[in-house]
Amino acid sequence: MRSVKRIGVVFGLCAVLAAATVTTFAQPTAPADTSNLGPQELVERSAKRMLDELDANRAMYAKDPAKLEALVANVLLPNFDTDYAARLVLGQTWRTATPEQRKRFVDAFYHSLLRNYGNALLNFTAGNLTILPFRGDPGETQATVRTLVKKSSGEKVPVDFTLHKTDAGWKAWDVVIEGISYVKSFKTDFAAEIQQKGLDEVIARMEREGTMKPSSSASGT
Amino acid sequence: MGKSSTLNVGAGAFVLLGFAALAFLTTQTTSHGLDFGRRARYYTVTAKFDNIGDLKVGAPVSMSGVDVGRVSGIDLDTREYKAVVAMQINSKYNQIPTDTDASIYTQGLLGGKFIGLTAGGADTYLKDKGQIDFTQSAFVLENLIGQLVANFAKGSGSSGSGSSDAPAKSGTPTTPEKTK
Amino acid sequence: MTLLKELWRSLIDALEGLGAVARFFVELVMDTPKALLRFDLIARQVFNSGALSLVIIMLSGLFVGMVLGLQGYQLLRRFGSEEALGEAAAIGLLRELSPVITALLFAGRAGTALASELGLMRATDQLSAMEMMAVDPVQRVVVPRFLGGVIAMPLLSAIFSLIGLYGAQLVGVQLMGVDSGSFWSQMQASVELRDINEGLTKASIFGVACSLIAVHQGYHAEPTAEGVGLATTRTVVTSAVVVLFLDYLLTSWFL
Repeated sequence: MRSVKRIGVVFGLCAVLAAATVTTFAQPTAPADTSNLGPQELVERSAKRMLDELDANRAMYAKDPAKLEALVANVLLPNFDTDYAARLVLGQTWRTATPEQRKRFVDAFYHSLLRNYGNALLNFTAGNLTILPFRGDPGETQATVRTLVKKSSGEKVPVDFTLHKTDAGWKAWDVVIEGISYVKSFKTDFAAEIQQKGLDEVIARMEREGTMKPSSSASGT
Repeated sequence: MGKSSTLNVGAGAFVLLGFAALAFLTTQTTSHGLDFGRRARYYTVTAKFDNIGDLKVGAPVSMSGVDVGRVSGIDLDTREYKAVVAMQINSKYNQIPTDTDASIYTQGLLGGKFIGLTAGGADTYLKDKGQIDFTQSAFVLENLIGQLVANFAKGSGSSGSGSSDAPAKSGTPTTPEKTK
Repeated sequence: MTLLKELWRSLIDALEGLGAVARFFVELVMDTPKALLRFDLIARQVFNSGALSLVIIMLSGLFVGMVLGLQGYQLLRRFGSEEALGEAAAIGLLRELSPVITALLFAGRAGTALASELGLMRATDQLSAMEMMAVDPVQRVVVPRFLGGVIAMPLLSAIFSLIGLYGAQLVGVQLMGVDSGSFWSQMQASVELRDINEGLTKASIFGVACSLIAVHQGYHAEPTAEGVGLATTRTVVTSAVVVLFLDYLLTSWFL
């Protein structure tokens, strides 16, 4: 359960954040032009590129987390509407936040995600992921791409990506694992913490500890 | 004809009393009576869910615990196999941001389902025939129990993992005050 | 063999009785438009059946409401839901207790009055005298009484509900300390116009039934003192059984 959740979150959300996190390390492959792809093809291509690259150089990525971060930023990040997702997570707080706060939140959020769930990606192979046939209306502006992720126990978990059409093509903004929308989950969690401590303190905590939730809370990271 | 006019007065008074009692009952014991003449106006908003549980037409739609509308229609989108829920929102609540999320909660522990709206940060507001894109489906109790059982079966302390990656699965504290 | 014959006999008798009442009812209905022209007669009967029954209805309503409040409170306290007392009392009264108890009391007070009045008229030949004067006794005497009862019943039931709620509130809020706000707001949240409609419909139908039984028994009473007495007792008994039977039918129909 844990590894699948991690995979799902990383696969979907790890790139849901600002481009400021793109590192300067050598890019293994150049980002592809995806502005004309439909939602299904987008997910399939990104998944394939990710998996191909991981298959080829798994050991290298296992040793060097910075390279993994770069790979994610290169392959997955461009296909995510990071601003939109961050705005959804903060909700009303986004409105009252300064541009600087918004940027810091996005960065800290992204790094916390990578730190918590990055390792799970390493174990991912093509056999784990099944992308299901697309059922939406290509003319619409919202779409859901459904996949099945196989856990180590053999059990298959439904992981859905929610995408919307922007000027720069289709982009994903949410991951729904076993019926739970992760953007919604984070929204609820952060709302409570922000109400208690204020946005600045929450951002500072994430920058400091690199975790999604405060380490004093009951649930582990 | 003094006597018959007294009788008439008596009968008239009795009938009046009866109708007054009826009027009192309809206005004071129900919640509709007080609204006579002030029909609220509504606008309709739709949202798509993967699973609505046993959400029913007529279920409340609330925001921060306050009733803002009702579920007016439930349909099935046969392309995507998603439930399309139509909600009527009272026109006086016309400043709901377009990126508000609509989630399905349960009243109490085993009560009926309702839709809770949590505000987003957008500058544009929902209008008639608008759609809420950010949705969270209902948590189906049987699925949760199944997961819990599966976790215990594995027994590797992973029953805590459900909560570490995904927060509270049951209805959040923002349930409205209805306790039927 | 004679047992079977007797059973058969009683069956035929019962059917005959039912048929007679039904025919009488049709006659009453058909005479109603003409009777409405003499509205003052109807008004007088509304007074007799309704206004004069007020005292017993209100007293009973008060005590029934108070008992409801008391019993309801004790029961709800076990589940920690005392605040639902308003809701429980309102629904109990509006849907069931008001129409039924009002009907039974009506049959006892107004029904017997109607039956004995008409029975006495029959016994003292007043009705035959009217026929001889080419005045239709049914139209002049019976229909106004019937309509008076039909009009009075729902109103009495509404008054019963009102006083009953007051009684429940008296016990629950004043005596037992249930929060007044919760008492009324929970009631308002769960009671719907549908419930009031249900109660009113029942009361109206019971009104028709009780009035019909009363005037039928009185009009067709044996023209003796004994006959009149029999008519009044039969009115109460038959009304009670019919009301309770109809109550079951109507309740299941509404649910």
